Amino acid sequence: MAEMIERVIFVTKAGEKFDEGFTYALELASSINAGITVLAVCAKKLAKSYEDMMSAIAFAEEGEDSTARNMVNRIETLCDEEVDVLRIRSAEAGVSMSFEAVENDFDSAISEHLNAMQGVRMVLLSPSIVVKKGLKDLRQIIKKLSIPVVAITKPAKADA
Amino acid sequence: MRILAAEDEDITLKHLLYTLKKEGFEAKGVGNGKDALNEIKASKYDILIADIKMPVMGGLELLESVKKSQPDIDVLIITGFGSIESAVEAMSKGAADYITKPFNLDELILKIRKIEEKKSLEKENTALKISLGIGSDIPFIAKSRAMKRIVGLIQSIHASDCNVMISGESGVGKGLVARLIHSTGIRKGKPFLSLNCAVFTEDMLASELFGHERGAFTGAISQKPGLLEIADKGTVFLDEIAEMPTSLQAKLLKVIEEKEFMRVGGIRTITTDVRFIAATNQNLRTVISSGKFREDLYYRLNVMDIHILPLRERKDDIVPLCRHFLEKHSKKANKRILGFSNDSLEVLMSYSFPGNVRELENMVERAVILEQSHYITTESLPQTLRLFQIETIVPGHIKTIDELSRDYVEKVLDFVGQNKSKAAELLGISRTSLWRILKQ
Repeated sequence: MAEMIERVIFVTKAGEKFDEGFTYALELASSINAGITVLAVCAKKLAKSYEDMMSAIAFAEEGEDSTARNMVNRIETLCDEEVDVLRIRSAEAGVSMSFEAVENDFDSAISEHLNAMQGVRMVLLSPSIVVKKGLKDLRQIIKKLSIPVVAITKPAKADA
Repeated sequence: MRILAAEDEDITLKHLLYTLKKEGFEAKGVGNGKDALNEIKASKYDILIADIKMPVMGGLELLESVKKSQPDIDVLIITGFGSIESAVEAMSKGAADYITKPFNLDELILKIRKIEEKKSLEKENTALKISLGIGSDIPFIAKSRAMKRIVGLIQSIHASDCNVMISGESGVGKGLVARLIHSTGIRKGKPFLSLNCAVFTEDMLASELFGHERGAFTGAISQKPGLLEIADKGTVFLDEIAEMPTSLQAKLLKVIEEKEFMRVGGIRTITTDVRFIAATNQNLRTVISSGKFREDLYYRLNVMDIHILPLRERKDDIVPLCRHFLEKHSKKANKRILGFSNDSLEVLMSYSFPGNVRELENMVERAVILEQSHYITTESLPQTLRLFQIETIVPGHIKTIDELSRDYVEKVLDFVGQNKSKAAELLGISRTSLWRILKQ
């Protein structure tokens, strides 16, 4: 009978810099012998644009390529290739990784994920979320949780 | 020091209690052995003075019962004049000392003082052994006041068999504390088995804990005893207890209460005598209020509660832990690294260690492998420590006023170099109030 492994969740905002802070999350997961789940949260507005994908396809079928291309560029902020890079980096670090993209607000996305998962040790919030929500708002969000939450931020001059 | 005196002669008992109280002891008297036994079950005593001849239950019978249920109570037996045989019998049954009637009260007080001194030395010795990891292969670093308090707690329960609940974030050393409790307790030398409730599905967890009969489920090709059976007379450490499914919580409660269970798919009741040490990284109060953890089980397991602070709240332990891990891993890597550069220690001291001691050990191990000089420099520490600022927030952990007072008093004590008089003066309270706050 195979055992499950303990995990940390790296919650990030689906978008351009969704992997910011992942290096730290990976190092932390590796140092505590845990797996990592990347939870990319699509704000409802962005997720809505997935519906636009269908429209883009319809435009492309009608031969309106430039309109279709514009729509696709706007929504393809989280492509498979980027996720694959994270998978490779995790494998190199010897950390088991899973990826999940959800359409929800951050607090519901986190609590729903925690309700469904067993063995989650801590929640790591990427700089994109911390900056967007601010620490004060985050404290409100995580009030109901019972495990530690790690807020990752970037000092003003750091590059990563 | 609390003393219970069991003596059927009223005048002797009154005289004895008067002298004991005059000498500064907290003393209570009873007229026979049975009452003494009930009193010991109801309250905590350090010393029992018992007359060998009493109605209902005599001193020797009382001595035997006390040594079985509360072996840490020292018993001083009062024997009749010239009754050497009974004195020898009392000593062979575990009495700390004896005194013959009619006795001189000064002699009795002297004997009590000797027992008091022996008890205090034993306590210091156990605490020292725990902090040095003697008697077990478990090194336990306790430089901070918080960890020293845990050493004191472990030492105070070494003669007890109570269930213990250990709480604290992942990686703080809950498993280590559980092992120490076992290896310094009365079940040392007996099995210590641990089970992480978070890494098994419900069926697997049931099978691991209770065992299973052949054919109990698909894949159960042979009979398998569970942890509760194998650990009989020993300790079972249930890590991440908050993640145990509620159906299993009910079964576990039954084991704690009735000391018996059945294997999965079995029809035979198996009895077991195990001590439970449970651990959680979650706020169990929140988990209980969400209905995911049984309150009755919580109280059964939480007879003694030990909370281990995260490493970021006991920074005094960081440097000694760094040195300990450096020694361990440089030996393992066959490298001669003498210590840490000041810069690297500064980086480590300012980091919040969400992964706690486990993360620190991993960092030091990695640094030992990477480091080319004789000192660990910042270059061998993870670069992400410089690239990101990390804040760890613990949800739902609201400190009580008592906890806040104690934290503040400890800060002031650190500030004045542990001088209690100075600290009390600065805080505007008496030394006894300061002592009371620290005792909470």
